[in-house]
Amino acid sequence: MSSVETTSRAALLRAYDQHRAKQWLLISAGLVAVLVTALISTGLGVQSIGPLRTLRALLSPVLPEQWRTDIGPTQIAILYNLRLPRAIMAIIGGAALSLSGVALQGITRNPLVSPYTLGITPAASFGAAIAVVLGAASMPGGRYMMVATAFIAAMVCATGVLSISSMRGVTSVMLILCGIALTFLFSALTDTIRFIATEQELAIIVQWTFGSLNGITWEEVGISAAILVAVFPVLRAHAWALNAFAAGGDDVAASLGFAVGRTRIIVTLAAVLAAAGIVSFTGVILFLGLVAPHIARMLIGGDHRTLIPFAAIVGALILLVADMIGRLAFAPIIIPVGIVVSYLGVPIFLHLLLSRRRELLS
Amino acid sequence: MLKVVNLHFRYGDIPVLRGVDLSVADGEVVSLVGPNGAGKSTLLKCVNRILQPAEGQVFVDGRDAADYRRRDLARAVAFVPQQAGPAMSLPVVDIVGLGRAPHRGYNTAAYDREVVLSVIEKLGLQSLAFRLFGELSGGERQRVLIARALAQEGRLMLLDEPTTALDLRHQLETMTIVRSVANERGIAALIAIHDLALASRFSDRLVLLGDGKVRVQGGWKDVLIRSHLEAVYGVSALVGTDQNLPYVIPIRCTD
Repeated sequence: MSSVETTSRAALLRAYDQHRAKQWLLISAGLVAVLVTALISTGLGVQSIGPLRTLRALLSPVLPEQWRTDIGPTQIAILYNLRLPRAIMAIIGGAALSLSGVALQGITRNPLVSPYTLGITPAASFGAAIAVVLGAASMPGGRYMMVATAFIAAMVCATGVLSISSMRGVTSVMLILCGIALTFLFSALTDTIRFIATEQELAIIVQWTFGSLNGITWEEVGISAAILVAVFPVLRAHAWALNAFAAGGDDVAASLGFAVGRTRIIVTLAAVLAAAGIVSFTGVILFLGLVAPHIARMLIGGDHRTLIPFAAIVGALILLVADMIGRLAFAPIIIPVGIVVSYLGVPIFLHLLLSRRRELLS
Repeated sequence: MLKVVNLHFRYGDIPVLRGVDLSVADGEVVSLVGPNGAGKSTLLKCVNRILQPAEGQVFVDGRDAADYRRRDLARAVAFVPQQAGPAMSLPVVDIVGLGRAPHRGYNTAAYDREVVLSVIEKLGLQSLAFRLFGELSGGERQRVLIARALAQEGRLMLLDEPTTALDLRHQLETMTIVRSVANERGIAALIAIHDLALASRFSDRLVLLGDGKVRVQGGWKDVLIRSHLEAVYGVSALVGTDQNLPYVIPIRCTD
C-alpha cells in the first residue's frame, strides 16, 4: 500500500469513528436530558421544588441523614404517588409511541406512516372502548383486559393495512389513504359504542379521545414498562433488517439474506404492541409517533442501530415537555398532554411535509 | 459459477419465463438483453430466490439455490437493484455497510468496517461517505449500490438495468467498474440491460431473451443480427461496426 493510500485510509477511518462517536454522544446527552427533564417535571406542581431537591426528596429513604431535605413526608408521598408515575409514564409513553413510528416507517419504507396514520391507534382505542362497555373498568384485572382488546383490535387493523402495503403497485400515498379510511372506520365504531355506553363508561371512553397522563397509577406504569422492555430489544435486534427495508424495500432485504415475511410480522407485532399498550392507558396521543422519529432521524441519521434508541429518547423528551407545558400554561387547569402534543406536532409535521416533500412522496 | 436450467416462472397465470437455460462462468460478464416484459428482471430475481421459480433449477457454485439458506445465498450472490429511492436518511457508509449484513456475527465488526471502508475507497466514494444516499445523483447512487454488492463479497453479482437512468459518462463509469471487478476479482456478473451497444462493449456474451425464452446467445457478432432483432423486438434496425465495436440504429417498427 502506498503512503497516499495509507493516509487516505487513516483519514477515512478517523471520520468513520467520529461519525459513530457523535451518534453515541447524542444518545448519552439525550439520556441525561430525559433524566433532568423528568426531575424538573416531578418537582413541578402546586408547591414547586427544584430538580436537585426533588432528587434528594425521592432518594431520602436511602440517603444518609445529612443529605436529606426538609421536605415533609406528605410531600414526598405526593411526589411518589402522583408526580413520579406521571413523569415515568411520559417517558415510557413517548418512547413507545416513537419506537412504534420508527418501526412502521422503516418496515413500510414510508416516512409519513405512524401508528395513527395507519389507523392502528384509533383501532386500539376502539378495542379499549369495547372492554369498557363489557365492564372492564370495574372488574379485577380489567386493565389487562383493556390492553388485550386494544392490542387485538390494533392487530386486526395492522394486518389489513400491511397486507395492502405488500400488494404490488401500492404507492406511499395509497397506503396513507387506506390508513385514513381505517381511521374513520374505527372512529365511527368507537362513536357507535359511545351511544350504547352508560354515563360512567362514556366518561372513561371520552378520556381516550385526547391522550392524558392524569391519574396514572404505578400499576399502569408497570404494565407499560413491561411492554416497552419487551418491545425495545426486539426492534433493536431487527435494526439491520430495518436498514435493509429502508434502503431498498422487500427485494433488497431479501437479497441481503433477511427473511422478509417473518421480519415484517415480528416488527409489526412489536410496533402494534407498543402503540396499543400505551393508548389503552393514556388515550390517543396524535402526531408523536410521526414527528418524533423524524426529529430523531434528522439529528442522528437513519441507521436504525442508533436511530431506535435515540427515537425513544426524543419521544420521551417531547412527551415530558408537552406534559409540563400542559400543566403550566393555564395552571391550575391541566391541559391534557395529547392536546399539547397536537399543537406542537401539527406545525412540525406541516414543516416536514413542505420542506421535504420530494423525499417524502417520491 | 451460475447455471440456470429450464427455468419457468409465472405471475399468477401469466407465464413470464418459459424454459430458460444459461450459464455464467467466474470472471465472466454476461448481459441479458431483450424487450420490456421479456423476463430479464424476473430471471435475475429467480436466480436470487427473491421470486420462487415454478419449475427448473438455478445452480450457484454447483449447488441448487433452493438448498441454500437465505443468508448463505446472500453471501454468494449480490443484487444491485434497478433504482433505489431516498432510503430514509441513511448515509452512504450505512448503505454500503448493509452488504455486511449476511456476514455479521460475533466480533466481526472490525473486519466489516475494514471491508466497507476499502470498498468505499476502491469506488472513489470517500468524499460521499457520510452524505445521505437520497442527496446523491443517479450515477453516484449506482456506484454506492455496486459498492454494497462488493462489500457483500459474493462471487456472483446480479445487476438490474444499472445504466438505464444514467447519462453517457456515468453509463460508461458504471460498466467499467463492473468489468474491472470481474477481471480483478473473478466475480461473475449477470446484467439486465437495454442498451445493446453498451452491453456489447463490456460483456463477454449477450443473452437475447424474448417471450420468456432465450432466443439466441453468444458474442455480439452472433446476437446483434438484423433478423434476430426484428424477430424479438419487432423492429427493423441497422447494425454497423466501427473499430470492431457494434452500434445499433433502430429504423422502424415492423409489426
